[in-house]
Amino acid sequence: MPLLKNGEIMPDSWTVLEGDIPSPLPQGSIIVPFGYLSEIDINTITQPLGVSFPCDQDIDVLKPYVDRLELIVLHFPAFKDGRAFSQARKIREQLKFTGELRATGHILSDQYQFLIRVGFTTVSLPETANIKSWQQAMNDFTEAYQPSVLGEKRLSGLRWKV
Amino acid sequence: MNNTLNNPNPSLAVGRYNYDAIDHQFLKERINQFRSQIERRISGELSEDEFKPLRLMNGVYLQLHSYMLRVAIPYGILSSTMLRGLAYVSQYYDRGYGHFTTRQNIQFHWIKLEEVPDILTHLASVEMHALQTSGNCIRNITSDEFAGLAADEILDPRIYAEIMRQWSTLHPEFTFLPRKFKIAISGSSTDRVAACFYDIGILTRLNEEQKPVFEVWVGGGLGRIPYKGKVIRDDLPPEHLLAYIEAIIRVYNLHGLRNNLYKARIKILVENLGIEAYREQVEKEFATMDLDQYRLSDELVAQIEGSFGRPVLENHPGAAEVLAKHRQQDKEFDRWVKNNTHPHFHEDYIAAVVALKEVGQTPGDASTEQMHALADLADEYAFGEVRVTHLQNVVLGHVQKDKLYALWQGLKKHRLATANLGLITDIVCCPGMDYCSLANARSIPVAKQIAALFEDAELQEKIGPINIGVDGCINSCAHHHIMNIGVLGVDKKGEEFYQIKLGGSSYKEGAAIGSILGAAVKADEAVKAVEKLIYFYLEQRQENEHFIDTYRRLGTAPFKEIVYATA
Ligand code: SF4
Repeated sequence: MPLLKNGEIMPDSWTVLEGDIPSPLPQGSIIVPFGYLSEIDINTITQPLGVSFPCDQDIDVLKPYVDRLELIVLHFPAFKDGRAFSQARKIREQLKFTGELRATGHILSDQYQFLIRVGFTTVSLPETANIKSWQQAMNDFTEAYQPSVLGEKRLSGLRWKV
Repeated sequence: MNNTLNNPNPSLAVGRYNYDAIDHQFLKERINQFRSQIERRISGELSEDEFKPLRLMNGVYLQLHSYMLRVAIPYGILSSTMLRGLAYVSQYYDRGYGHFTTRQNIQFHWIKLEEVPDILTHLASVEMHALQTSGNCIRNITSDEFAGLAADEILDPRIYAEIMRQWSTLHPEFTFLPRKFKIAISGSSTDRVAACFYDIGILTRLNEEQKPVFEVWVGGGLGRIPYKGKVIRDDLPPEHLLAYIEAIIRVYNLHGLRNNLYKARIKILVENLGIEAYREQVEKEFATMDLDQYRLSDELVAQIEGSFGRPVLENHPGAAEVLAKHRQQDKEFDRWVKNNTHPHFHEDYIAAVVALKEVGQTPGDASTEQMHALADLADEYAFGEVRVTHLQNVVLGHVQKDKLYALWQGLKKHRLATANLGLITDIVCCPGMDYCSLANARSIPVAKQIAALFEDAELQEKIGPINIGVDGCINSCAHHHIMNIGVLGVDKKGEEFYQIKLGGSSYKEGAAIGSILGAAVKADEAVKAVEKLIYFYLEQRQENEHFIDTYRRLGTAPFKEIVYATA
């Protein structure tokens, strides 16, 4: 699946592990389901580690692992389901996570700027996505009326430069 | 504490925030985005399912016969220029009228989708938009129609409504909530906005140190399962308003039910968790927030306030006497003044309420010509400011008392001087099956028939204060749940039937949800039932009891008997 970062398609070096996790683990950067973290001793994993986190859980449970994680994937079961917007924001602002925050699922390009402003850095797109729409969407708005996790420059009043 | 004493910048439209280049640029970008969304829909890149919420968030609905465009009137304030902009849209893109709703919006019911970007461009030129008038996002913020003029006001709620309007505009976190989210604010502790029936309702009071604080209600709402909200915090310092409501909505966004349309509003979550648990979660969220980033400092509030125009209110000695004389000379005028005005904090001024409820008229409708007339009269008598109310009427807020008679004569020429405010023919009515695709039944004809029964002005005054709401479905756009008499259209095997509810009341003091009187009946019987209820009340009432008091004293049973005894 194409991976979008800052409006550009990037190579995706991560391997997503689902269902039964093989042992030993494959080489390289891996994304494991959140449930897997409690089944293992995370200190035994030496390779780059990411986690795929469900949209219906409280992000506080990530706290014990967050320093060890390089990537967190959040899910949009439908583009109208905006829970991951709040999850992302909390992960950035409350857990102070600084690694890659990836959005996956059913997402529209019209939501791209929202994703970026709540702290997502990458979007995993379906093969059929129109990349041009996504690139355009990144510049739909040059200003916003509320602070975001990006610490953008305040223009004046309640307006920020995006 | 009133700030309306002088206008530091007379070029600013009165009573509302005036846009600057940044705000104009934003709207331009938004319209361009919508244009490209329409193109992507036409090219097939967007499915209808994907396009629908996008068009809704631009105020565009698909109704029974046509597209409808719902335009926001933030906190209900229009300048005469904005009103003329709406008149233009009604004339050139609709059929010569617009419909004011209970949420301080205006709807145009006969719109072509492909013309929407042009309409939006025209509206943007008068600093208006249709943003977030629909969709599962934070909707238009409503406010008290007497803001900035009521004697009991602690702060001008429009400043904070504007702050919330800006903050909620394309909020990156809250544009895909479980369901729509409605906020109302009043700057006094008297509830004039039905605060306890909103997702968030805000009233203002003075704390022990005589500082203004907000009393924040959460989890109220109408619809299929009506709830009175609960107070989540009664001492919120205004500077933390944004942080606090952001915390409330974040908890809702994360935990609100998403799998059942009818259980997705915040009211269900608050009810399920209990207000204490909800409050605890909100406080926890609030405690983690960077409050500085959200703080509404005095400078920031002053800056927003500085973009509001203010009327120059001067002393006019003798104005009150002139008004008294006019009232004495003209009985019809006297009746209108008695029913349709509200006191102003400045003793030489008065607020005039223009009822869009002439008997025979569709409640809330205004024609192109009436919009122009109102704009002209507002320019001449009310500093160019027009307010639309949540009861589908219009207020001219700052009228010099000695000029009220001339204003009234002007209103009369355009059939805008109906003297029925708060009386039985001042009916609140949703568009119903004449327009709305969600409707079970027509509401407009029923409202008109009820009004026709009580056209006589003396009879209306004898009946006294009462409110009636007529809805075409349980969504309750006309608030039938919280009206003294509510009429609700229901579908019985494809036929239009009407349920009658009694005893609703909208405002914090005595707020109540009406109870169903009995089995639903057909339209003509429903109208007859209302007639019977009223005459029964007139028989039964003690001294000057209002309808609602008689109902409360007697209970439902005798009213039920009167309606169903012979049926
Ligand atoms: S109450 Fe129902 S029928 Fe009436 S406008 Fe609202 S949704 Fe439509």
